[in-house]
Parts: sequence; C-alpha cells; structure tokens
Amino acid sequence: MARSYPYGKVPSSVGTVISERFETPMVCCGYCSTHFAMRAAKAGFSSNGKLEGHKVRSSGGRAHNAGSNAGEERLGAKRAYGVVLTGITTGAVLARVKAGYAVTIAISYAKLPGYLKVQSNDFGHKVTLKGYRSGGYVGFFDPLYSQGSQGTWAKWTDIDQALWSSGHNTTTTKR
Amino acid sequence: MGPDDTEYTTVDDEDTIPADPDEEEVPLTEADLDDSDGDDVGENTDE
Repeated sequence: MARSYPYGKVPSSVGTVISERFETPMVCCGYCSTHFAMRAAKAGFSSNGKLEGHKVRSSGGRAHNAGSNAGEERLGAKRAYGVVLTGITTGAVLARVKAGYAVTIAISYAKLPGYLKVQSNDFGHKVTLKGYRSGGYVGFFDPLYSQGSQGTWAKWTDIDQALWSSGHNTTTTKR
Repeated sequence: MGPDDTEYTTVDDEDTIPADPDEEEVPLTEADLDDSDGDDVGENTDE
C-alpha cells in the first residue's frame, strides 16, 4: 500500500523523512521521529536513523528492537545530544506546529486516513509534524516512509482524530 | 542488527506547496505541559 498526496508534498526545505526502514522489525518510529525533531532544533545532525536515532534509544535506556515511550525519547535526546524536548498535551500540538516547531506525536495507526498509510495494521505509532499551511494543513513526516522522501500535507482534523490517548507528544525548540 | 534495506527517494520539489510563514508564538502554559511517558509506540507487527 502506498501513500498519496491529495493535498501535496511538503517542501524539502521544511524537512525530509528520517526512515526506520533500515532494519527489521521496524519498531524505531519513536527514535527516528525524535531524530527528526532534534534535527529541526539544532544543526549538525545527519539524517541517518541508525546513527543519532539509535544513540537516543540507547541513551534513553531502551533495548534494541523493543519500541519506545515519550519519556525515553526525551531523556535520550538530552543525554546523548543535549537537546531538550518538552512534553506537551494533545491540545497544545497544533499551536506549536503553527508556530514553527517540530512536534512528535503518538497516533493510533489504524485511525489514519488512507492517503497517509503504507500499512494496513494497527499499533501505537510515532511521527513528526512540522510545517503549517493555511486551510488547516500540517506537514506529516512518517518514519515508515522512504528515507529522504518529502512529507505529506495532511489535514489537521485527520491527524487530530488519530492522536493516541495512551501515547504522549513532544515538541522541540526552534533552531 | 537487521539488514540494511534503506530506500532512498529522490526529492521532487516541483510538486510542493509552500508552508505559511510561522505564526506568532503563543508561549506554553503549565496546562500545556505533560511530561509523562505514555505507552510504548513501535509495536509494529507488519513485516
């Protein structure tokens, strides 16, 4: 299954996807999303999740191939690279995106609309939002997409209804 | 460590819609903060 772009692609100047497709199982969505957020906040990071993404994982205290949670992602980013990420509520996400921050969000994958999906199963997933366009569109960067590809413009209402109440969200500082 | 099957995709900037300039920032309040861990993400079983 492939994503589509009914609302267009996000310019690469906003960011490009840091993919978790470098290994199997593909369970590093949280670390690759955190890597994207760090890259938005501070210069000098590569785009290779195997490097900074995995360093965040180990520094946050999680074993390899075992998922993640928001607290570990924040802790790993601070310990490994000195990037301070702030945990926020779901209600604060859109305003932060509008203000130019990258925000990692936890979502229920099955609730995403078809144009954003590349799989048909359901699990707690993490992606990053960055970029806002008038009309209520946010830049959607999913680690399940191909490495280096452009983000998808998504309707905020499509994202909002898929936010995972059991997961948590994190916002970065702006560079 | 698993196989390196990274796919690289050529960026196509011809098919883009520009982002709007940043809006004026509204500072976070205490009510906006949530430093809990949440449940685990990434339990993706679709191989």
